[in-house]
Amino acid sequence: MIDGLNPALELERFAQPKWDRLGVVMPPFSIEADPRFMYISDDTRRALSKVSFMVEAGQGASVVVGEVGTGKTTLASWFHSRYQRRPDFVAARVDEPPKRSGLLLLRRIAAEFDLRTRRATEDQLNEFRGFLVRQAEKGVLPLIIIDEAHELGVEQFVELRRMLNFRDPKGGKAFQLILLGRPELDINLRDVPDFNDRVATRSSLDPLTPDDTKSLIEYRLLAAGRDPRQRPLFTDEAILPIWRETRGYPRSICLLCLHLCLEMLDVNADHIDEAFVNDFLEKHQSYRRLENNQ
Amino acid sequence: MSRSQKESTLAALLRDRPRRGRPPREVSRQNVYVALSRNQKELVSVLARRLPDGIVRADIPDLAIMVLSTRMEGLRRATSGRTREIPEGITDLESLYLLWDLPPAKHDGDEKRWTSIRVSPQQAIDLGRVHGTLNVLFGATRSEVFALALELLEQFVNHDYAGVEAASLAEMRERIVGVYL
Repeated sequence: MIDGLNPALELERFAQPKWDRLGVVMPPFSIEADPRFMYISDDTRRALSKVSFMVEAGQGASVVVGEVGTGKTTLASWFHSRYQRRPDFVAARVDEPPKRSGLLLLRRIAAEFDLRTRRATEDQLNEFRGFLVRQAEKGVLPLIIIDEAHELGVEQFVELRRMLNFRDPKGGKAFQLILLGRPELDINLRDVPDFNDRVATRSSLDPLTPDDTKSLIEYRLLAAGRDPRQRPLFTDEAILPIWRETRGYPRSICLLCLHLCLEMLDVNADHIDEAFVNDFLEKHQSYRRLENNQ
Repeated sequence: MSRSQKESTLAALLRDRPRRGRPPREVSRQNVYVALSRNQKELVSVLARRLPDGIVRADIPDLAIMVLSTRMEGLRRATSGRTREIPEGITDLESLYLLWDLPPAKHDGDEKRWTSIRVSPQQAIDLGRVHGTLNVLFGATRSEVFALALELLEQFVNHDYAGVEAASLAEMRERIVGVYL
């Protein structure tokens, strides 16, 4: 260490991008599922309104399908964070359901609700039934959110269906269920017609349009703290090549914009236009491989 | 016509015939001011033509508000016992369009003009109630709320009304409640 300088800290300082030069206080294009950065497109808004209506009306199961990178996990985080803080709901989120076994799924859900886990399916169902009765007495409605639900097997759907038969004292469904997964989920559901019949609403998340892509970029910058009165960081002409490259998938858009911002900071540019995007895509083909490895 | 058969002046005056001006009603209607575009006014006329003879153009605002208040009542029932008046995911007025499968709210650039619609006292109260709720939640204006009501009425006429012989507002109301509640 020389004159109080810590080489490790100095290295970190240079390795960290200077986001403040973009006028933001945090990285605007993180690809983590963060509800604070959730851009609400029409598809997302439709899913939010329909699913939340069904949840609060106590209709049982809701399904949201979307391709990889369309924002399902962010939506799951949104539902979990919103309902978890409500006094009349208790929410549990299963990010990655266990493979095939119905009992393992029940145990996982029980663990999320801090319930005792049992070794037999019937015992676990009874444990869960007792929990639902206690919650109903308190006027609390449990909500289970299962992400990556396309990985659920037939046996697991059977157990979920059995659970959906539990009723609260008023005769309504004793808990609510939201399943989010890739489009295969819809195909898998055809194999379990008993469960499929109990699905109250289906929504799909599609890739964004060029207009939505522009709105997403602007929203993310705004959410990260950029003053909207400042000159736009991305020009209108830059949007189309970004949309073409990413095909409108939100996660891909964020990843590309993250790299564009880093490149911009690197070359000391002050905005990103069409030529900048095209140059970047020509020079840095490798960023896509990073995306595929995510 | 002979002189003896000629109708007297008094009888001619008393004879019932269509009169100009507002039709007489048991309970007089109230003026409510909303801004409507030309397309929305056209929609009112189109809807009036598609409804039975007993329903005239002047009844469309009442009917639209009946559909809106019934749909809102459905929403309230869904959240009864909960801590919110409308579901968590309804984040703005457009969410209601999406929830009810309506075409997106039109911002057609058509100039809107202030106009008075005449609504029955109960419907005036209902419109005020829905406007109050949606204004607190999303800052919705009365005109936006009435535009939503018109869209809902159009949806009702297109999908849920076919072949119904309801000739009065009361019968239409029964039908609307039967469909949505």
